[in-house]
Amino acid sequence: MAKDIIDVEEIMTQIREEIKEKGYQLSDLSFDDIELSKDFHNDFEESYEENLKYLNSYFAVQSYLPLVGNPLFVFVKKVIRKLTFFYVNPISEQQTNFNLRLTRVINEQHAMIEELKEELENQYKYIEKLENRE
Amino acid sequence: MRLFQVLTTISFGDAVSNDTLALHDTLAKQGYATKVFAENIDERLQKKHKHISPIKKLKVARDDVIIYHMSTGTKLNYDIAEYKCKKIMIYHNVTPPEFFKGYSNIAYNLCDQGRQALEFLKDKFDYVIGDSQYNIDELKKIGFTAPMRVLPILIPFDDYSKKPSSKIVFKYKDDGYTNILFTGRIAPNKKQEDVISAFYHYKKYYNPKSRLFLVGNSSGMESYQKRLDDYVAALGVEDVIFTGHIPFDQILAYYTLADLFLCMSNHEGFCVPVVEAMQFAIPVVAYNSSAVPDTLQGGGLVVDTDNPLEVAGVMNHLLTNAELKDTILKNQKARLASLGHEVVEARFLDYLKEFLENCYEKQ
Repeated sequence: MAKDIIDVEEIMTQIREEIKEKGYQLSDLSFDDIELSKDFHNDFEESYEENLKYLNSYFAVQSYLPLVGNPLFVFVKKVIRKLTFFYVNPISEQQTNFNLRLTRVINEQHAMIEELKEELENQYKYIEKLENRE
Repeated sequence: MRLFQVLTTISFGDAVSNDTLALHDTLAKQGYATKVFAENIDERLQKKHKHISPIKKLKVARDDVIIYHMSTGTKLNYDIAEYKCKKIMIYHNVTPPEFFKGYSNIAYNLCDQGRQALEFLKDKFDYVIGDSQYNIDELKKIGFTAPMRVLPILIPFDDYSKKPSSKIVFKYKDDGYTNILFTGRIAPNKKQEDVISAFYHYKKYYNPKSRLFLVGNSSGMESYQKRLDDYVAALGVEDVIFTGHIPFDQILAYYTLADLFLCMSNHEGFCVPVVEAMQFAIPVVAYNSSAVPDTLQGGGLVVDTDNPLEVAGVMNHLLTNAELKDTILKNQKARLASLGHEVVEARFLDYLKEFLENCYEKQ
């Protein structure tokens, strides 16, 4: 099926003439005037520093939760907790140990990254200095 | 010989994923032994399609063929070169990372890595298919050495005959408002701010009884969405509706309601939404950028200006000129004929035949 040609240039000329005749004005406000919110955090880009702080504060896993509520139910839960302590506690200790080592590794890597960033910054400054000399 | 499609992520409703699944059906119909392998697989697809497997299960023989869908940054872009068999790349394009600066470091890095990977991949494939001439031209500039062909995305047109959401249709139908529509992820390269600005001027100077639907998911681009929300508030423009992530029947409803489809996107590798608009017989006004004119090929009204006042004038001109609108719709219908499932499928099979005769037999 053949297509009909549309003279877009002619249409644009008509539109531009109409805009001029009627005195239509472009809005003073452009998208560039709208600031990108610095406080806004994408779900997937939570503050790196906040996550580091969280890891260092909460790496330890408790083997139990506080028991509250009806005294009879609390008593029963305490008994169950004591009976299963021998099984649950080693598992939570293992997890805590793993979390601790992982947190240490992440802290060390963070320190390395900060060091490398500083070194990179110094290199850029040195390159700039050399380029300015030329 | 087996044909394996490989991609980094196969997800629900994604254009690349839909294309992959459609090509799989085509290959299976032709009697080829074929499967799909991906790094990330949407659970819903995994349950429905038994032929999708994790990439770690991919084992190739020398006479197998990998069809690799390239659309983003991933280690797979480098791993794919290690498979010892013939390879076809289907290039869907990688958004230039600059669009995401300030909005998403993750998206910026992924796109940057994807663009860098193209340099590595330029001599790793035996045959290349691009969704558009724009995509092929990009690869030519990079220095790809393989024979290259254009193949539009295989679109599941049957899906558009499904029933639209009556809730949405009844909410907005026949209320005397002109509905302007843009469909696409809320993403900086799609320039939703330009659509909003053009709509603002259209509503102010031409038609106060108008409404803008921006249909698309902002997941991952929350900071850009916030900036758009602030822009709408600062302009004081009413009747701008961001739908967010909605079910398919609601998307169909918005297409049913639309009087005009406005695309101001600055970067597309193909742009399925303009094809969808043409399918729903909605006249398209589009900014002349990247692959959009390739996809429209004479359909719609493609303009070189992104001046929102001028675009608003174009919108009004089209909506008030019945003859122009009819011409546009006629041209769009003609273009749709060449994007039909059977036409694109036949073209794919021709390319596959060419590949097997000229590139594969040589081994």
